[in-house]
Amino acid sequence: MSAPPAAGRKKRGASSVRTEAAAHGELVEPVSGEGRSRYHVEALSRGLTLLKLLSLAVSPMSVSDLAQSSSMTIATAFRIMRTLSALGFVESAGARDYRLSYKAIRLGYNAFAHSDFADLAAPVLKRLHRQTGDSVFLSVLAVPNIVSIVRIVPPKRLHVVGHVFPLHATAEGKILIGHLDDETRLLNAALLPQRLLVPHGTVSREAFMEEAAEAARRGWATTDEELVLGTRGVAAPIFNGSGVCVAAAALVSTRNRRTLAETTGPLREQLLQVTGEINTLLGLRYRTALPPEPSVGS
Amino acid sequence: MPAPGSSTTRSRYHVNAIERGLTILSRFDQERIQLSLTEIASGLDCALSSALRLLRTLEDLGFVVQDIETGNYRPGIAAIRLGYASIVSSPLHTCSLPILAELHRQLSVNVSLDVLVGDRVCRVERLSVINLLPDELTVGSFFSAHNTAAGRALLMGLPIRTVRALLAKQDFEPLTEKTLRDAKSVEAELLSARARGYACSDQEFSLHLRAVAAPVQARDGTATAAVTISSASHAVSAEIMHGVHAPAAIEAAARIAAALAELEGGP
Repeated sequence: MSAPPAAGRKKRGASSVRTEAAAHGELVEPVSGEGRSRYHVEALSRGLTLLKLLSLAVSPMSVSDLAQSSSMTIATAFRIMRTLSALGFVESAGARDYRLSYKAIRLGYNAFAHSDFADLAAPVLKRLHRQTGDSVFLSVLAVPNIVSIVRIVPPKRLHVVGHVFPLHATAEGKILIGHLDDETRLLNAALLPQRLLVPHGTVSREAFMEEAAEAARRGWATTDEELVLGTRGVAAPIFNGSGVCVAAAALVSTRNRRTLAETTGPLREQLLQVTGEINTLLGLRYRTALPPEPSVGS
Repeated sequence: MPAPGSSTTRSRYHVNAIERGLTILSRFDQERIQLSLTEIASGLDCALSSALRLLRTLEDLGFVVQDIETGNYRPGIAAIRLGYASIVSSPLHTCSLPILAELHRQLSVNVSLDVLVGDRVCRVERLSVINLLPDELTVGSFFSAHNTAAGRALLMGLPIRTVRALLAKQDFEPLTEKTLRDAKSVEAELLSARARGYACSDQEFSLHLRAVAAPVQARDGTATAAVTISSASHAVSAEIMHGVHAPAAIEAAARIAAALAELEGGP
């Protein structure tokens, strides 16, 4: 049993971690490499690895499949599966295979099923704010405006929601309009004036609708001093489990702080990574999908 | 390969660390969507530093995420995917879906499939008409067995001793004025459910809801799942529920049981 070096990942009492580990007689293996804590509980990590493999597999897996996919020995994989099975989180499927049992719903899904959408997105968006230092918004459509449902603004990080902005002047607005189905988009376009006001003049409704359609196609939109002189931002769509665009997330900064190339380059990439994460989460919100209706006469 | 039951230091260590890590994840539920380090440590009855190491391991593999502002933890994508995968990879999912959908379409009712997990009922499928019912439960919800139609359908085929052990743990909180308030009345209700082949809960769980449920029976007579039809109590009368919904639920449950038996191979 090796004692770890005396530095924690963060500035929390590393020495107490070591003492505690020794007291519990647990193996503590410092794991080097990115994204891994120094104090990695190896046995737990292995159990989680096998659970993860089962959750990503389309069909049940045998111990040897699991061992092979995880680079563990069969003996180790066997011991872990026996533990997971005794705890009730996996069950046998056929003679040799295992699958996740319904008890696995208690390992986080239950809490997730009761979290509201803004609540799920908020921690991920806060991380984006921390990474970039820029303002982060999550907004929904309320034609002719957008309304923020999450808002993280430096330096005070005010989380006041319900801010309203004209949709045509925001990157989120372009994304949200662009993702409407054709009929709804036309109906909503009719609610907008022919000439849309921006700080340096007006743009035509047609030009805006075209830009929105293009934004939806490529998966992101920008706004460059269209709402307020000196601010620019980039937005990306958020989809629910059925693939419908329900909101847009945006990263907003100022002209002095970010060049347009930064906004459409590295910042856009950071934003898309975060929206990708939120979209994956929302995709796990299980709704029983109705199988197609049998055709008449069948 | 160690013989079953051999408890070397190493395997005990394995069991312990995995169990404690998964216990942390089990602490999250519909009432506790996020937890602080202190709450997690006190739940495990261990020191903060010990809990922290388990949490960091969970975090490294995506099973928890920490809110950078509050420092609280919540389940991560990897943990959420476990529940999702258990639902969609279950043979019940494939066998029940077309049958539940047909029932839903024919009667325009809220149909769900519920299973027993430990002492609680878990909703694993749900097809609802557009108007959401008040107090209705989403997929992934856990609820009590003794006062719900689904729970009673799952309990009614169990040996009386098992039922009594389960009922002994309930507090019989009166959720509405109609909730049965003691083990004896619930036991009697289970007996009559067994006699008529389906269970019901008429405004016992919520004044807004009445529901019937029929067990999907395994060969040994216990229920693998329950087919539940819930309705708004203001819109659907008890007569409709017993006269129309109950036979429909029984029929669907029997068809799911047959599909399941066929899938699992066997006469």
